Amino acid sequence: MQRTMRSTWLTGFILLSSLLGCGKDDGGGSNADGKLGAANYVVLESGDLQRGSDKLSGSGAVAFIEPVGEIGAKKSYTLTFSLQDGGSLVLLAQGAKSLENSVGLKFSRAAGELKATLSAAGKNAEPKLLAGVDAASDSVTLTIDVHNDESPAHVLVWSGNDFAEEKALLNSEEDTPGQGSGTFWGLRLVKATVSSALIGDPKYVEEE
Amino acid sequence: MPVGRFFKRLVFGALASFWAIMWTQNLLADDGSGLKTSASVDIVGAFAPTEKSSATDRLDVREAEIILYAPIDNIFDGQLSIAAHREDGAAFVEIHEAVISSSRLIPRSRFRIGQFFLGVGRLNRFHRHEWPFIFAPKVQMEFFGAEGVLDTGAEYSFLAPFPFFLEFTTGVTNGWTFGHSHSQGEKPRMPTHYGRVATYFGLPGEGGVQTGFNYLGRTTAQGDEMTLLGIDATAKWRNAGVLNLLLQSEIWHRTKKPASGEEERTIGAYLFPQYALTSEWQAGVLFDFFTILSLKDITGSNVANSENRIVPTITYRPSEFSSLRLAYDWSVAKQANQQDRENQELQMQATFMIGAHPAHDF
Repeated sequence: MQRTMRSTWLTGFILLSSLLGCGKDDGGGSNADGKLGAANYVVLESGDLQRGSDKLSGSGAVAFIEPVGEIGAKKSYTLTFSLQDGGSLVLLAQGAKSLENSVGLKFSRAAGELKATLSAAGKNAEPKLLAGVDAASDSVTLTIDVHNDESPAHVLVWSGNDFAEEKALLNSEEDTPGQGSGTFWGLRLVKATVSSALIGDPKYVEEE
Repeated sequence: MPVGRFFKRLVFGALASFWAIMWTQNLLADDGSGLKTSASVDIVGAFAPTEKSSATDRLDVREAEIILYAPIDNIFDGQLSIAAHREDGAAFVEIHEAVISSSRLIPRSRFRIGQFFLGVGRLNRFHRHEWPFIFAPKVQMEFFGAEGVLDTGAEYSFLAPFPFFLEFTTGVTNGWTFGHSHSQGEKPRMPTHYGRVATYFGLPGEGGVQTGFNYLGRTTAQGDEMTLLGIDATAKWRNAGVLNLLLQSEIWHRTKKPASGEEERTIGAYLFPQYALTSEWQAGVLFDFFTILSLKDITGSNVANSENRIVPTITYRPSEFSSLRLAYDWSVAKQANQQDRENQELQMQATFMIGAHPAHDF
């Protein structure tokens, strides 16, 4: 028994030591076209996109270099932006390299209202009005959870810092038309300015 | 809350209430039918020892389950279990298992038809309140969900006529969904299908180990393919009914091939050694590891990544019907070019079971 115990702890120690060795930095920022905050990106559609270290504006599309993790990841995205009348901003999450096959969430401004439209697998959901958000504001900050571990992907949108499910301005639960099938994220702008785009752990975690 | 979901809850709630009354009456009736009932409750809490912890600082009834089982006739057995989980702050009642089964119809065989936890791996074949630790290892969580994969279908096991234990299990289930989902899903191109080959052999010191080789596959309606391959092993050394030493481990590899997009390969493993300090107290440590083998950045460069977790756990288990657990959960997620994400939680669990409970295998 003593020998078995010693082997057990030794095996555990060896496993632990080998596991903790992972996570080496491979670099990766050298091929970037630019940086928004701390996130390096490449330009997919240059359009009339104007790029500074603190903002993107105009029309065009970028993809961030670092992957979000698994295809079935759950992530939170916090976007600070403004839209001209008739403008839009699309968050493309869990997409392949050129952000195809992603879960899309399009914020569009029309007649002073801000609407959100979900898309996935080549299909669009019905647009939804984001009540209480001033579409004409110089700075709209929205937090978006994309849970691509669920089928279909579960998307929630909040304005503010209360991330309870019932406080979500949009809660797709069963309404997203599909899932993303990649590990990248990016933005598509049309007459829009983005001053911040952050990715992090999900704000809403369901009890299972 | 969507209307469909509201009605689902309403119907389940009504069914559960009706069933609870019938169950109580049956307890009083003692009708000699062989009907056995049990109830189990799993209470868990996670508390933040540091400011950056993601612990909820709450104690919750994670699950309350009622099981009803009996021989149906001279051939078949039946089992129904209904569980209530917390969801959106309220109890959500659902059918856990509803199966008709038999080990008497076909020689050396047993089968079950209905809804059940798929018979693959180790943790997926056991109810969560029977696990030797509080929360699922990362690989279980990612590949099977926080508790395990349930589905409706048929499963068949055959015990080979050899002088040693060798059992083949195969199953096919609907596969409209797999894991956590809020919808009924879509008809898949290939339903969930799986197999397990298990064997048992003795170990020095009056121990024994059961190990299984597992396969599971499914293709979604959109053409996304998933293949899981895994090995599970559970070794036990018992003395006078006391489990002196437990070694439990699983390693799983998953390949996901989206209909369009790049293939993803992930691997995860856990090891849980547990030693009995006395007949009632046990101490164990969960070593947990997970990585995405194929992770690349958008330029095509490999991105090193891993998630590691160590959970020392102490258990007080005076009988098989109750347990109290305390654990310290430390985890770190690493990905190249990004800050490490560390988390620490103090976790506790209390479980109890009243009434009879169906026998489990090794």
